This record gives sequence, structure tokens and C-alpha cells, in this order.
Amino acid sequence: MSVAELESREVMIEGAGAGLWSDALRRLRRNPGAIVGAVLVAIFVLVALAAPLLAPHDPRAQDLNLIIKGCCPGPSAHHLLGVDDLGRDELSRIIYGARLSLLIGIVSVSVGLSLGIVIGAISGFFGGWIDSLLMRLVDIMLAIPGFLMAIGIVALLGPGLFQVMIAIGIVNVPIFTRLLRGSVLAQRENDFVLAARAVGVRRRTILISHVLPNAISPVIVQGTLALATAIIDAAGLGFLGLGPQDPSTPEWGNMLTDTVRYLQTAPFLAIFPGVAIVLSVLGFNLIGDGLREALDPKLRGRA
Amino acid sequence: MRKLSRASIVLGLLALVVVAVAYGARSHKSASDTLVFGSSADPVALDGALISDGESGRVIIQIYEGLVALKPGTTNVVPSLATSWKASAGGKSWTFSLRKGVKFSDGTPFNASAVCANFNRWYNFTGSFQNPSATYYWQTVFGGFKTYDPKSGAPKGSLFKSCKVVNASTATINLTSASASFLGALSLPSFFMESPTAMAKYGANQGSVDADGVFHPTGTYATAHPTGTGPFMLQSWTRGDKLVLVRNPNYWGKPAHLSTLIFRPIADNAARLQALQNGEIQGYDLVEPQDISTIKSDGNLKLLSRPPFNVGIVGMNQSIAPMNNLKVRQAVAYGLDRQSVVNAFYGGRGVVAKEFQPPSLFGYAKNVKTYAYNPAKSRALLKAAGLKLPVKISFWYPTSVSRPYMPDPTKNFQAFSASLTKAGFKVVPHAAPWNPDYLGGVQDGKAQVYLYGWTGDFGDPDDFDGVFFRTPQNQWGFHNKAIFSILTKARDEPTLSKRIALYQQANRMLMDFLPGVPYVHTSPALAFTKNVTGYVPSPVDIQLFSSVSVG
Repeated sequence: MSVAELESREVMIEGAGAGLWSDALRRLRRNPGAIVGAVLVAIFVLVALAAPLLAPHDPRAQDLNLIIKGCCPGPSAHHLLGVDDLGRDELSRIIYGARLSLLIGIVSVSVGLSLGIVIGAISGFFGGWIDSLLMRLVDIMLAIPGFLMAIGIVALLGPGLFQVMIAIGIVNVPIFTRLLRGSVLAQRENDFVLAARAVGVRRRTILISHVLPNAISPVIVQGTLALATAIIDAAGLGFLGLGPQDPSTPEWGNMLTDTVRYLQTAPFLAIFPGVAIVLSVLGFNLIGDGLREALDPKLRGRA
Repeated sequence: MRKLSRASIVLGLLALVVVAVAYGARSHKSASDTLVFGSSADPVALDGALISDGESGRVIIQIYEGLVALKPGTTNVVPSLATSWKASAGGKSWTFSLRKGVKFSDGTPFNASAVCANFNRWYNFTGSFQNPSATYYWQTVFGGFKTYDPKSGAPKGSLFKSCKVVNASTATINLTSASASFLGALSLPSFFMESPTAMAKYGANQGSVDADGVFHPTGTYATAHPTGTGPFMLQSWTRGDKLVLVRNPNYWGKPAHLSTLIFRPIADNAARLQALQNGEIQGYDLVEPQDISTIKSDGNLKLLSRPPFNVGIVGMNQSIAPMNNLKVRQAVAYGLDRQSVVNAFYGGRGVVAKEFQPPSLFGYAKNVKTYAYNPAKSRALLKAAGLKLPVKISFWYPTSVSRPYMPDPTKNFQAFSASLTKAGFKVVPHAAPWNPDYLGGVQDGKAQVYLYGWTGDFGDPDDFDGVFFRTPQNQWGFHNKAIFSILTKARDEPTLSKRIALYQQANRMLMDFLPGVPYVHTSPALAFTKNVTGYVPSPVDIQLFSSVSVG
């Protein structure tokens, strides 16, 4: 092979490499599920970011006069989704609740993702006793059911929004760790790693700039799915009374707990936050599934 | 496949038949003279001396009787096992004439020696029986025991001195000091008369305290062989399932209409309502405000109300600054929108409280200082106190609890928090589970501002004002000698007209001094099916079922 030929091959490889993501995007666009998911997530994020502009009322403003005749008057022109048991506008609370859910989702997944990437990469790339030690720790964490562990951590740290985020993040750590370690292991033995090592590239550089970029795609898929579970878990912890300490905080899980006792008289108070949770979680799940299919090398070029 | 589906159809039909038969059998049974009452929990024990909870009292009052009782539907003391009584030696000595010919349900006679045996049993309790979780009411009313045990937590010295058998139907109780509230207290289930023979036979004086500091009787008397003189007797008790009482055929008074009375514990309020609607039970207590309209609109059900005999309070701890400043306490009082809270959360069954005791009780004063919601005035008071707005306060509220005076504490907290914020405060929320964290924290004096309340046990103002303010307590954190002494004087005064005047004066002093802000008296509701008659709701939480019938 001449030098020119070699150079042209390199260009081809780079082209193929860049094509991984554009290809994935192309296939994502053809997946109706993923599009629905993307739309749901886009609405969710938009509502969360623009909450003060969209909400018709202050989510904490009470109007006890509205509930003198009992809980709770249903939807009306002034309160599109009705008011809750303290006369607060349900729609505004759901809109502001999106904000908290998004915050909880992003922060807790970031915590889990960053810790998981660090531990998984070290464990997979260096192997040996470090790997054994870290994996046994991960085994211990995986042996405890996730939600139970989250409850335990919040019980330890004390209830509160920040503690909930930390707890859900920690619960996610072993999942990300395992996933990344597996894919780093697969990449580690590849020829390009051997080549890099042969020309004397430092191990750290190999890990960060050669192995990680190739191993990260399953973790990203898992990250999207974890966002969905984080929202559910946060709502669950809120439901158990471990969420924000100020009970007037508009958090979807809290809103469900507060209205359980009105299921017979005002079921809409539980239905609306429930639907909000379902839709946002569904959105992230659909996108996650779509991404997984799009990034799966076995399915490449099919669609 | 086809065979299978035919088989399943047959099975389904069969199941339907079984259900229909079972339903028919049940509705047939409910037309008899049996009543099933939905309680919120199992009794702790069926030995009045060892309990302080309402669910135990609810059953005990059917089985046992006291020397005195409360007239149904009121808190007036009337004769029961004692037909009359007389105080002498300036209220220190009380002679009771006992009803003749009364027998315990084990056949042994009720007489003066049985009365003294009961009093001496309580007074001679030792060891784990001196634990406040075992003998709460003895310690509240009579103080300590014969032998003082510093480890037990019981106070030293007792109001009780001795019990003397004058003749078979006359007994004299001697006290160490004069007390006027003592007589009303004898109507409590904790001072009901129990058969000394049965207690000895079934080990009533055996018990221990568990790791959590809670007392449990270990003999079989309190669980399987409670023996009293009342209109009902225990037949069987399966914990978590049902407690069955049957009519006492040898009852001295008018026999009970019901031949069988069953208490079924159903912890969840919504589940109790459903059980009532589908006929599993015929009545239950402590209906939640949001269920009232459901019950009213159901043609098969009816709602009964207890006279208000409780108080909801926003407590303030003066040992935590700035609550020691009267202006700040007044600012809190003016800053609580009590009227809106009472209107919104009590289903029309609450009134705004002006004093710490309910209006139906003697000693209620007409002209106390009142504090209508006025946030501007609160802010002015805070500024006058030299504080910078907003003033930060830590506000405690309990979780996982429902009381007649606060069906949902979280809602009360949120509404008060919003109105206090308008009045120049910055409210820092502090939530804790009712038992033990919340009650413990509040009673240890850790809570600055907190939700609190009380349901009366018997008809005496000492059971309200006295419980809170007669002695220095960590939870209020103040030492006001004038208030302590007037409440002690009022408790011991034997002449009723003088007592009334003293309590009225005390109530005026309290509302000026403002150790807390009383905000509601509620009238708790009970629900029954329409065919239940004869139930007279009592202001205190327990009453007899002997006049009840199912028609």
C-alpha cells in the first residue's frame, strides 16, 4: 500500500467514525417511538424551564376560601385543573413540579453517571486487584434493592430534596459502573489500543481519549433510562415523606401523598400529578429505547 | 381450549353462588342483636389500671364500672357502683356508700373490701408497674406509690393515703391533701372496680417493660379473663381480628339490648368507611372531615356528633428567644389566621377557640383578651419588640398522626405558616413522626413553636388548664408563679362556686400571658348505619353500648 492509499483509508475510517452518531440520529428520526419520546421530553423540559412564565398562579399561594365547602372544587375557568386541599392552583403546582423533577433527574443521574464512569473506567482498564475490589463493592451495592437502598440513604442523611438526589445518584452508581466496565473490557483488547500502547502513549491518555469514547454509548443509553427511574424514585421517596421538608413544595410525589385521602371525593388531585409523572417517564424511556436501537452495531445499516 | 373455557365458566358460576350465599348469610346475621363496631386499633390490655389509650377504654367501660360514672352525653358525675358519697375533713376524706347486691361476672360479691383491694393494688404497684406507660392515670391523678422508686419515673409521694372498710357497703378513701378533681377522675377506666379473686387467679399483677420502655401485662387476666360488674363480658379476643363481648346475664342494672358486641380493628380510616358502607361493621368513631359529606349523602348511614371537649393549640416555648417576649407571642397570635383554618379543614365541625378549655366546661370565662387575625398588627408588634423583619421561627408539626383537634396537622401547619409569613415571620418547618420523636421533642422543650392539643378525660378544668400550666414544664418553658398558684388553688378548692371564679380568673390571666394560642374546639363525629339506635355520644371518647340496639 502506498502512503497515499493509507491516507485515504484513514480518511475513510474517520468518516465512518463520525458516521456513528449521524447514522444513529438518522435512524432515531425514523423511529416513531423515539420521536414521541423526544416530543414529550421537549415539552417537559420547556415547561420546567419556563415555569414562571407558564404558571397562571403562584404554586404556593393558598386560598382557603375555595375549600370551605369541602375538598376540593374541580377544574374551573380560573383554575384549569382545580385546586388542592389548601386551595392552591393544581396546574401551577404541576408546572413547577416539572422543574423539581427535572432538577432531581439531572442532578441525581449526573452524580450516578460521573461516579459510575470513573469507577467503571478504572476498574475495566486497569484490571487486577483494583478491579476485583471495586467489583465486589459494586456487587454488595447491587445485592440491595435500589429503592430500599435509596430509602436507607435518605434515612441516614435525613429527609430533604438534596438528600433525595444524592441517594438516587448513589443507587445508580453500580449500574453505570458495571456497564462501562464491561464495554471498556471489550475495547481494551482491541488492536488500536495495542497500537497506541506500542507507540508509547501514556495509559491515562489511552483510557481517556481512545477507550472511553468508544465504550461510552451504552452508558448514555442507560443514562436516559436512569433519568426516567430517577423521576419515579424521587416521586416514590416524596410519597413516603422523605422528600422536601417544606410540605408546600410543589413536588409530584408530595402532591400524590397529600391527596391520597381525597381519592374518593377529588380523584383528579391524584390523577393529574400521576399523569405528569407517567408522561415524563414515558418520554425518557422511549428516547432511551430509541437510542439503544440506534447505537446498536448489530442493527446498523438496517433502517 | 374449549373445554377449559367451559370449565372456567362453571367455576365462575359456582363462585358467584358461594358469594351470594355468603352475602345472604351475612345480611341475615346483621338483622339480629349483634353489633360490629370498627375500632382504629386493638386495645392494649383489658385491665383499666394499666392503660391510658382510648381504644382500651372503649372496651373496658363495657366490662367494668367505677364508683362514679359520667351522665351519658355530659361530663357530669353521677352514681354508679357508689350510690352516694360524702366528703369530710375539708375534702381529705371521702366516704362512699356502695350499691348492694352487685356481683362481679365471676360470681364473687362487690363490696367495700373489693373497693379497698382495688385501691390498695394500685397504691402498692412496684417495679415495672410504676412505669408511666403502665399507670399513667394513677400517676396523673394520685401521683406516686407506696414505695418510691427513683428509676421508675413515677413521682414521689401520693395523694392517696389509705382505704378503710367501714362495713360491707361503706368504704372510706383518705387523701393526703384536699382535692376536688379527684371525684371526677374516678369515672376514668383506670379506676374501675375489678374482681380481686379473678385478678389473683389469672396473674393480674404480672408484667414487664420491653426494650422500648412500653409496659406489657404478662398474666392472662388482662387479655383473657377481665372480670368486672359491667353489662358485657369478654367472650373471645383474637388480636388483629376481633374482640367479642356478650351480654352479662347477671347485670345489676338494666341489661344490655345487644346480646353480642364485636370490636373489629381497622386501622385505615378509608377502609373503615368502606367497611361501614358494605355492611361489615355498623359503626365507627373519629370520622374524618372529608368523609362527612359522603356519609351524610348515604341514605343507609347516619352521623352522630360528640360535644366538643378538646382543644387545638399552637404552643410556644418561652425558653427559646424571642418567645420570652410577650410582644412576639402576641404577634404570633395576631398572625395566625385561625378562622380560615377552622372554616377550611374541619368540615364545619370546629369553632375557633378563645381559651385553653372548652366552653361547655365550668370555669370558662366570657371576657378574655381575643386575638383576631391581623397581620399588620403583628408586624407592628414585632417592630415594637425591636426585631428586624422577617423574624425567623422554627415551627414543629407532627406527621403520621390524626387527632380530633387536628385531622391533618400538615395542612394546619401549611396554612399557619402562610399566614405567619404575611405577619412578618420567616417560618422554618420541622416535621417529625408523632410518637416518639415529635412528642418527645416538644415535651423536652426542643420545639420553639409547635402544633399541640388535648382531649379531655373527665369533666374538670384541671384536666385542661391544670395539665398544661399548673406546674413548670419544659414544653412551655416559663415560670409564672401567679399562674401556677392560682391553678393549684383552683384544683384544691372544695366549693364549686369559688372554683368557677378561680378558673375564670385563671383563664383571663392565661390569655393575657399567652403561653400558646388555642385555635380550635372540634366536635368529633361518629358514623353508624341507620338501624342502630340508642347511642349517646359522650364528650370524652368512651361510652357504654348497653343502651344501643340494632333494629
